[in-house]
Amino acid sequence: MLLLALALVAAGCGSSKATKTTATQGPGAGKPPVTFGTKNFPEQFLLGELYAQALRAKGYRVNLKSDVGATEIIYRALTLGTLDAYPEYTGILRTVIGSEDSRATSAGEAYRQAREVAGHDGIVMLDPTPFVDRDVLAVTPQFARRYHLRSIPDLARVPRQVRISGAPEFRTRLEGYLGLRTVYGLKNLVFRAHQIGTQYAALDSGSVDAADVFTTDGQLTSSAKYVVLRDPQNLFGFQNEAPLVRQKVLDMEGPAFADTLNQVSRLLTTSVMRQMNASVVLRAESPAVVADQFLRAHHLK
Amino acid sequence: MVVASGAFALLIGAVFILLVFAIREQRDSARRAIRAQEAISAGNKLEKLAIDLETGVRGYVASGARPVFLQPYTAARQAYTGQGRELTSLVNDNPKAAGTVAKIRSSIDDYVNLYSIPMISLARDRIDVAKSVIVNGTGPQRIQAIRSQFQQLFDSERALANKRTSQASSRANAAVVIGIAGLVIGLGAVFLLALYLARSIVRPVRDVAAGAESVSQGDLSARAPDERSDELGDLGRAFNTMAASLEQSRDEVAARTAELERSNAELDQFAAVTSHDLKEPLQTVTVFAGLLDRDYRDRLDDSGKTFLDSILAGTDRMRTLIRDLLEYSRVGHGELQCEEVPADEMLERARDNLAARIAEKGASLTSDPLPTVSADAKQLSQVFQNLLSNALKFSDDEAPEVHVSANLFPGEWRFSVRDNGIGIDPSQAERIFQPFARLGAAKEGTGIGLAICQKIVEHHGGRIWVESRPAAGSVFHFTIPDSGATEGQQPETAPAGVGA
Repeated sequence: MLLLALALVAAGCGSSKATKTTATQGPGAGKPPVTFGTKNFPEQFLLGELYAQALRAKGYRVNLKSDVGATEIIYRALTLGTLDAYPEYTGILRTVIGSEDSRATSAGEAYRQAREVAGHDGIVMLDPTPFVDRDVLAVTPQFARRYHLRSIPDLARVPRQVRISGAPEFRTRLEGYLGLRTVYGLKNLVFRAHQIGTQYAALDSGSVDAADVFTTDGQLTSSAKYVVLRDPQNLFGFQNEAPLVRQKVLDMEGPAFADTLNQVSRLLTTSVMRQMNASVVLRAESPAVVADQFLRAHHLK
Repeated sequence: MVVASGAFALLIGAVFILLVFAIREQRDSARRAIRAQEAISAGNKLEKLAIDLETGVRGYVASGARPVFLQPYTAARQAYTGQGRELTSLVNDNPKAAGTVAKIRSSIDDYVNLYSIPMISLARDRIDVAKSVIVNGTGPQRIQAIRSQFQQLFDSERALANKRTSQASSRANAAVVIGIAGLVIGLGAVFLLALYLARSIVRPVRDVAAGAESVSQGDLSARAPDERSDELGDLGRAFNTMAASLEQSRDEVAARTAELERSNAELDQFAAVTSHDLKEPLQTVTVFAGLLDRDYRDRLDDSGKTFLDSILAGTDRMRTLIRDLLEYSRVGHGELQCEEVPADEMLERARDNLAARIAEKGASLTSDPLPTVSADAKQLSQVFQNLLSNALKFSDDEAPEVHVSANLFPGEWRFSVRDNGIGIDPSQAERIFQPFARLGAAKEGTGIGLAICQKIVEHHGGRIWVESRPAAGSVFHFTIPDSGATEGQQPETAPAGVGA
């Protein structure tokens, strides 16, 4: 709960601060303003700041809307044109939006399929990041030790109901609660909906046994606190991140727009993201400040 | 005076300006307080629209995307932009509130564009997904955030409204205090001004009026204060100059009158004394001349007889002269013995006295009926007698014809004695009333008869004059004030013959 509050405060500060730094020179100068959205969790806030600040450094006018909502909503806002771009994950896009129920065999396949899904809606998926922000199930070391848990199928050995915490939409996704039951055949699961970011707190308090978390979460920098269960069936797929941009927006903003975003994406490895997420979520630093430092260090600003 | 009026006007002006300012500020504060209230009311409406948006979306999704449940949302979506604009216009005088409103409007825009529109679209296509998404949807959070922004706005606007209201009421109080103070000062100034006016204007004017009153009652020594250097001082001085000049004139007239009276009295005294003292030696001359005539006439030669006759004639004339002189000086002395006397009788008495001379001249004397007047009987008959005697005296060779008439004029009777005698040169018409003014043609008399007539008539309050031309006869008119005794006795116009 505290972490969520900190994250929200940090996000709020970041978005309001970042809007002030806009270069008047560069390829983006004089182009129509862009509304750049993010989903509703800290890593997205961070990604939003990274992309928006990089674009502003090139003279683009960017209206950053953090915390737009879940994939279903934010993607629809994109297709309806009330939003121009947002960072999406390849696996989520191909399953949630593309209703692909088969699991991708590789990151490359996942990206191609996702790109295809977006293409149908007049949306371009730019280059993917090296990092993967995949859902994983995390449990406490005590719980893992007690039931000798190493991978997701091991949960079947738990002789009681396993309370799993996840975002509300997790329940209906194949790459989620649904897949856990169908792909892994787990029958002893009970779903507990939580706001994204509060799963660790739920785990810590013992109100849930397992939590749907993300591979890039800052909390996972320390293996002593949480154990991540392996996913042998690749249920949670390949979740490289890539910005989604409406084709019309790309046409209007010119090639420098996509180039700028791709330059940022190329630098974002899993360890880089974990570090920055840890700064934002655990040390309550502002996503705008963290993004600013990173971009400056890599001469993108 | 001018300075006081100016100061007073300035004071009133200053109070008025202060009052206008206070009232304007009060009105301004009140208007701003009302504006803050209006902003709160507009904010409430906008907040309700935001809630309608959220409940609309929620109801629509919960109902399985039944369009009827979207109605509150649709209505709110149409209205919120206008309502937001109204709210912005109501808070544009308060930068902080304007910032909050801008944030609120942007948040509602975000809610609509980035949440409700995608959510409704999703509900239409995939209601099951929409239902699961909306459970965690950021809608309630967004609306909650918006509502807390509204709360912030309301708190600050309410505080502003309270501040402005208390400001307005304190300014209203200030206006009342200024108004009352102005009224008190104004009344005080008016009172002082009135006091000043009473002291400096009313009093001097009243002094002058009192002076005028005294003067009109005959006290010409009255004076008004004249030491002031302004118009009131001028008025006082003008009044004093007038009063002084009046007093001087009156004194001069009085002195001249006294002088005249004294000289008249001396003259009368002189005439009386003189004539009386003259009688004594004249009597001696007359007696001895008479003795001389009786005892020694025969012894005188013709020259001596002629001389003696001259002496006798001289003494005779001297006696007549003295008698007339005494008569003249006596008339006008002492009280008139006035009574209602019929003029007819007086005329008759005069005629009796002159009967011998009338017969001698063969004169015819006629008269109209004459009125009864208030007069001294003896003196009135004297006037008639003198005028008749005069008419007989100045007749030419024809038999004299004399007619006496009387006419009533306003306030007086005019008696007219007309003759057919030699007449008088108009240039002499004034002179004949002077004592001893004998005209060249005079054949007899002392020349004092008309003077006596004038004295008597004037003593009765009347006038006497003559209309005449040489050889055309004369008309002597004299007036006696009408006593009213003969009212209605208008004399008949037809002359009634009186036998001569």
